[in-house]
Parts: sequence; structure tokens; C-alpha cells
Amino acid sequence: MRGRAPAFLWFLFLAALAGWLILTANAGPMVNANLTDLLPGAQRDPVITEAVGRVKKRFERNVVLVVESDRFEDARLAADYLGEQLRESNQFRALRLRYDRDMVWEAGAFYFPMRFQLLDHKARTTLEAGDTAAFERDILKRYFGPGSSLSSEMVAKDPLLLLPSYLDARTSEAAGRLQPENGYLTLRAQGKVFVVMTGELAETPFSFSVQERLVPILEQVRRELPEKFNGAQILMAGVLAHAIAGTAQAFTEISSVGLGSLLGVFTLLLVVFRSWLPFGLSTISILCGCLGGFAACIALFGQVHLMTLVFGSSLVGISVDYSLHFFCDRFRSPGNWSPKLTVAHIFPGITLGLVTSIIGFSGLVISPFPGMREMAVFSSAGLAVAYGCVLCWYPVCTQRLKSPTVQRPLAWTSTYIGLWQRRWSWPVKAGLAVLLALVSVGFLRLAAEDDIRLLQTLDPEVVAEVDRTRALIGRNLASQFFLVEGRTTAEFLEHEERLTARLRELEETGQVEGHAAISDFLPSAARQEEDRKLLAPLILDEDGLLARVAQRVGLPDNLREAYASAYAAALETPPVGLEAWLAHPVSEPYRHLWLGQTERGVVGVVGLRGVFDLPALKAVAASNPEIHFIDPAGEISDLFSDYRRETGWLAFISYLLVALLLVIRYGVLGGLAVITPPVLAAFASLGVLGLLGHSISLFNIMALLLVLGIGVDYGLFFRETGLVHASTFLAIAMSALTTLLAFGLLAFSRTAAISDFGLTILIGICVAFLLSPMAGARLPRNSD
Amino acid sequence: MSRLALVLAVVLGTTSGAAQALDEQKTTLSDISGQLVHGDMLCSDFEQEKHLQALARPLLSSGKLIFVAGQGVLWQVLTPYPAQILVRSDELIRWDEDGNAHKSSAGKVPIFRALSRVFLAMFRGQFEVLQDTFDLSATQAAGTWRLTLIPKDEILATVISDVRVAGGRHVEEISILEARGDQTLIRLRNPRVDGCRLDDTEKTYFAR
Repeated sequence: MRGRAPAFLWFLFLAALAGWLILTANAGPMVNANLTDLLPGAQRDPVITEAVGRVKKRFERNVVLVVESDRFEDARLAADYLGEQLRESNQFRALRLRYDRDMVWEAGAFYFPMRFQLLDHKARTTLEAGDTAAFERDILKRYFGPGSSLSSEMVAKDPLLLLPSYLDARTSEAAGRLQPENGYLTLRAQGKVFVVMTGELAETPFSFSVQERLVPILEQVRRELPEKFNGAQILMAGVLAHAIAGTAQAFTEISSVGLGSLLGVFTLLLVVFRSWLPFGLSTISILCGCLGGFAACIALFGQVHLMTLVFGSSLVGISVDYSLHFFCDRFRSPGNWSPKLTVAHIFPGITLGLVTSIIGFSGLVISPFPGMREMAVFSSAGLAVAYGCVLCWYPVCTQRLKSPTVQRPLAWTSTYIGLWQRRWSWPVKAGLAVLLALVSVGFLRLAAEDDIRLLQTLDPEVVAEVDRTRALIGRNLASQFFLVEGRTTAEFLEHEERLTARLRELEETGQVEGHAAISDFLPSAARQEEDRKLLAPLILDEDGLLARVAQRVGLPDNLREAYASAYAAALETPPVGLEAWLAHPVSEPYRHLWLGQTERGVVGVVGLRGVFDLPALKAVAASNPEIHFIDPAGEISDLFSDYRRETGWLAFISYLLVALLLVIRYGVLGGLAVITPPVLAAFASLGVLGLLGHSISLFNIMALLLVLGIGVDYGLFFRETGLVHASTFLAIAMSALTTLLAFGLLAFSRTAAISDFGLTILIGICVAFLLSPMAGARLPRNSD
Repeated sequence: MSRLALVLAVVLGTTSGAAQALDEQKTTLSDISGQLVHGDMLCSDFEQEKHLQALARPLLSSGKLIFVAGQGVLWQVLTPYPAQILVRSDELIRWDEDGNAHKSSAGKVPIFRALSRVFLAMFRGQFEVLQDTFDLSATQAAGTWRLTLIPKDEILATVISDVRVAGGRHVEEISILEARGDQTLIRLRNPRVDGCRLDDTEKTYFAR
């Protein structure tokens, strides 16, 4: 029988596609779940882009876990247990719980030989100003004051107490609240004991292996702890905490939206067509469409983002329209229906539908947004494949399908179309007037919104836990930071010192709270030499500072002489370089600030706390080519705003293109009649969003593109079938219902971006559907 | 039968004996605590002697201190070099001449924290909290008492040999003997609960 050959060929094509995908799957992971990968990077120097990538990667892999309990012993044991479980998950590159080494002692061991070249900021400014008396007073206060950790050992080897003074200044700046207790980093606050564990994940927290292996363990331990260790509890901070909550929620939403729409569509098809076949075939063509979209993305981009799968599959779901038109066509002439005639009848309509949809999506392909490009490719390819399925398989599979006898739905749609014939009736006019009024009011209230929080799923519980943890451990780093470059490590440190000098000024005036920089822990070679020179007269002069202090505190002469000769010997040794510091355990808490080699030198990070004056910080970087100010959240917000505008224009152009195409085919009036419903629908969704007090983001604009793609289809089907058939409107009604089931449900998402998207579609499709008979208004009515 | 009775007697005897010893210990500690004059605040003058083996003579200083329950101890050195230091359970803040506060790395040192906990507990008469960190032994005679604290923690024990506290209605003397032989002696003079209050400057120190 004819028609079998194309069906078979089409099957072969899809089978080959599936085979290719299976072969490719072995090459590596194909699905990515990190939301930020959907965003383009800011346009800048590749070296800096790469460095920012490294900071981001490190940042998102950091995990802080805190065990909270009433007693230290319970907290400690619970932390041991948690640590053991986490290690077994094999998801951590590093996990630190116990600090067996004495960190203070280690700092002493590293810095002691450097004591003559390590002045803290205050000591240096005092000495540079020549105020030896003030310097002396500070030293003597340390001797006589209470609470000082003075010991014979220290006094004998460093009678000017240079090292303790430097270490105190460092601690003061680091301002951490955690202290080692029996080797555990511990904090006592609010009548509780907290034991802190830090870890670095082996992979991004969005990866499936983290989600699959680590999350169940964490959940299990979270449940077990209170019982096993007298009410001990876990607190967590880090991107992981958000990633877990976000992904869990995404999956719940996907499955509930997916299940909801599937059930809805199934019921709808069964009720209207009284047969399993339409639902079965539609499902198969949607699945094949997803296969095609997936394959196209893998071929072009090498991977597919989870969000693309979600949105893309829904978009491919539009292809159910093609199926609907095929099956609804049977109502047109129930007596002498044949699949072949149907294909001929609906072919122009669904072809044009496909073309306009692809035009709608192609606006997104041009956008530099990786996520949108993926979605556009996925959906375009998916729709094309589903279209192929309808044309190649449906006629063969529906040979034996009997013509339906029940036509009640047709009666309803007939009535509605009746309102739109030739002269519009009063309900139509009244409806349009109300719509226009509402939309105009809403439009006046529209405002734009480009905040990064659109993308975040802010589970209040998780946010509270993360905030509490961060407040506890006092690690309240700002999301902004500086990158400092240098051709050599020595140069890097000098550039950094220039930056920190400026930052200290900003800290004094309260524009920034604090900073973390490597050069505060290892001064540049130049500065070490300067500091050493400043001390020369103080130590070497016969009646210098050292002599006076020694006399005042009763330091024996032999110790004083030994100190002077230690100083003389130190003058001969070269300054300590960054490499030595990095190799020593003392640098461990700050090593994350070091990024290492680039193609043109080295680069490191200067972290910030409490940023109150962004422009001032930007200005610091602007005057120094080696210093770069990075504001990731700000960049994303800027991107959102840029792309909102850009996508807005793309949407506008797409609407124009489609309108042009329609005018070419149907003439000016006909074309306008088809394009008007989706255009009005787009305006209506914006207006209603304004009325509801929503602000407009990129995601609303994206949805408008979809409203165009789908809304035009409705008009097209009226046009292409030549007459205003109630059967056509039934197909459109069903298609609108299925679209609403697929997208409208997204409006209930807790992620602002998705909910914006869903809501816009919900409103737009409703309006486009209700107005669609307008497209056929000037056509004669077929009284079937 | 008789053997079982014997075993029981021994077991019960020892346990009750141990319990009794523990009870006596508790009684002494709570006696001392009861003997101390309590108040949310305590003002006192102090004299400090630091004996460092490396130095030819002890370092002498004096001043006044104010203890505020739940807040910490403010030491105001008056001679020979005026200085203000606030000791809290987990941090130590010094003020320079310009009035700028500096946190000290001493707060990170286990010995410092152990000692600050001793101070805070003593002024309050809450000796139980010290039992996590120290073995306590106490003696009492004629309205005076003596406490000896020996560190339980091994790391702490390498630094501190013992801490001795003596007093009557108030803590009067604290002596810290370090493992290396350095010793710090603090004598409280004229401790008073009544009429002890913060002036405005002192309030700003505690507000940190």
C-alpha cells in the first residue's frame, strides 16, 4: 500500500538518530543542571574570564557544615560521624574536620624567622612617621598589660615582640570567631556548641553524581543525628545547600507539571475522540520530537541543559497541535473521511505553523544566551520531527480508525464562531472593549525587573539555614571581589599592596567593611626589605629602642646582643617569596585567594566583606590595568537587562517577519487578520501582568515569542482550511487547552523566572485562542 | 549465698563510696560558691606580677577591673602604662591610644581561652562549667578556701601546669603556673559588689 514507504523510511531515520545518541552517550555526561551555565559570560579579556571561572568553580564547590549541640562531646561525636559518612560518599575532594596541628604555633614557626621584616600596618605608619616613642609604648604595654600571651621563650627571642604584634594585627583583620578545641574548629554561642567542618566537592554541586550520592547521605544523617547524639543537628551553607533545594524542587515541579499536563491531555483526547489511538500517536510523536531536539542539541552543543529539557519538551508539546488537526479533521466530513484527504487538507496549515514557530524560535538562536540557543534548537528540531511523524505515520496508522459519531463539542464551538461571523456581535465588541481598557491600565503600571533572584529558587528554610550558618562562622564574604595580576609573583604582591592601601582608606571611611588579601599575610619582597630597614636604628643603635626596652623590662644583656646579631643575620637573608608561603601549612586558610598561572603571568583574588559603595570600588580598578573589579551578581543582572531589551527587539522583529509572511500569502487584510490575535494577546499578557503588579523580565519576553508562535498557528489553521469550520475551531480549542495544561501550570513554579514565563503564556494563549476566529472573520462560513 | 552477699556488699560499698566522694566534692564547690558574694557586677583593684624566667625582675602592673556577668571582664591598667583590655569567653579586645579596638590573636590560643573561662566562672562562682576543662580540687578552712585546677586537655597541659585560686567572700588571689616555669600572680584588692557600676566610657568598652 502507498504511504508505507515514507513511514518506514521515517522510522529508519529516527532509529538511526536514537542509535547515534546511544553511542554518543558513552563519551560523557550529556545533561547539565547548573543554572548559571545558561547565562553568557560578560564580554571581557579571556585571561580574566578564565580566572573568574576558576573563582566561581572554587566558590560553588565549597561546603560548610556545622553540627550544633548542647554539649561539646555530642557535637564532636556527631561531627565525626557525619564526616565519616560524607567521606564514604566519595564526593569530596577535601573534607576538613580535625585540626590536629596547632595553627597558632604553625604561624609562629613560619613567621618567626621573618619577624624583622613583618611590620603590621599600624607599626609601619608609626615608624615611617618617626614616632619611635609611640612604638615603644605599644611594646611596653604588651609587657605589662594583663591577658598577654607573654612567655620567656618569646621574650628571649623577640624582645621587641614584633611577631606577636604582627600576628595580632592579622587576627584582628581576619576576625574569625572559630577556635580549635581538642582539634575541632569550635564556636560557643547562644548557649550552644557548634563544631565546624569545611569541604570541597570533587564536582560542581549541580552534578548528578553529587545529587544522587551525596544528597541521600546528607538527608539520612540529618534524620539520624538528633537521635544518635542527643539532639545534635546539622546546619549547612554553600552553593550545595541551594543546589540541593533547587534541584529537588525543579524535579518536583517538572514531575507535577509533566504529570498534570499528561493527565489533562489524555483525558481531553479520550473524551473528544473516544479512542486511545489519538493519544497514543500524539504521545509517540512528542517523544520522537524530544528525541530529535535532544539529538540536535548534542550535535550542535555537545550537551543539553536540564532547563532546556524541561522547557524544550514543553515546547515540543506544541506539536500535539498537528495531531489534533489531523484528528479533528475527521469531524469536518464524518461520512467520507479518509486519512489521505486529511493530510491534503491540513498539510498547508501545519507546514505554515511549523515555519512560523521556527521563525519565532530563531530569534532566540541568534541571541548570545547559551540557554536560549539550546532551547530554540531543541524546540525547532523537535517540532520538525513531530511534524514528520504526523505526515509519515498518521495516515498509515489510522487506516482502520472509524469515523466518530458524537459531535457535541462541535455544537459548542459552532456557537462561539457564530459570534464572529461577518458582523461582530455585541459580546465580541464588549469583550474587546473591556480587554483594551484593562490592557491600557495595566500597561501604565509595567516596570522592568532584572535581578538575579529571578533565577533563584529561594526556599525560605534553606535561606534561613544558610544565613544562620554564615552569621555563626562570621564568613560573610561579599559576592564581589578583585582580581590582581602580575607578571611575576613579586609583582603580583606589589600590585596587591597598592590595592589594599586604597582599600584601607575606603575601610576607614566606611565604604567597605574589610578585605582578605594574600599580601596581608605575605608582604612583597620590596616591603619586607623596607620594613627591615625601618628597624635598623631601633635595634642596632647603642641607646636605641631595644636598649631602652631591655632596660625597662629587665632583659639580660646576652639576650639583647643575641637579638641584635639575629637582626644583622636576617639582613643578609633574601626576603621570603610567595612560593614558600604557599607551600607552608600556614597559608592553608588563604590559599583559595591564589589562582596561579595565566598566559601572561599570575593572578590572585582579593576578597571583600560588606560592600557599601560599588562605584568607589569600580573606580579603584579603573585606574589600574592590573586590577579588575568583578561583580558576578551585578553582571548577571546587567545581562538580564541587556537581554530583556535585546529579546524584546527580537520578538518585535519576529512578529514583523511573521506578519510579512502572512501578508505575502493572504494579502494585507487577510495577513493582518491572522497576526492581530497573537499581537493583541501579547499586549494583553503584558497589560494583565501590569494589572497584577508583576514586573517584566526577560522571561516574560521569551514567553511572548511563544505566544506569537502558537497564536499565529490558530489563525493559520482557520485560513488554510479555507472555510471557518467548527472542526477547525475545535482543533484550536483543544490545542489551546493542551498548551495551557503544558505551560499554564508553570505559572505555579516557585522560581520567579519559570512562573513569569508560565503566567505570560497562560494569559497570552487564552486571549489568542478567544480572538482566533477573527482570522477567519471575512471568510464564508461552512454550515457543517 | 554468702559470697553473693559479699560481692554485692563490695560493689554497693564501692559505688556508694565513690558517689560519696563525688558528693563531698560537690558540697565543697557549692559551699565555696555559696560563700562568695554574688552580684551581676564586681569591681575591684588589682595588682599583677608576671615572673618571666627570661627576665631579671618581675613585671609589675596595677589598675582596676570590672566584671559584668555574661559580658566579660574589663581590665584597666593604670600603671605603668595605661591600657584597656576586655576579656570575653572567646575573644580579647585591646584599645589603642586613639580609642581603636583591636582583637588579639590571644583569643585563638587555647591557654588564653581556658584562663578567660576560669576568670568568668570564678567571679560568678560557677565552678561546674570548669570541670569540662580542668580537674578541680578544693580545700576549705575558717572562712577561706583554695581551689586547684589542673588541665584535662593534653594540649593545654603542655602549657599550663596549674591554676590556683584563693579567697573568702571574694576571689582574692589567682596564680597561674606555666609548664615552662613562668608564673603570673594576680591579687584583687578591695573587691566590691555594692556601688559597682559602669561609667559612660566603660559602657562603650562593653558595647563592643
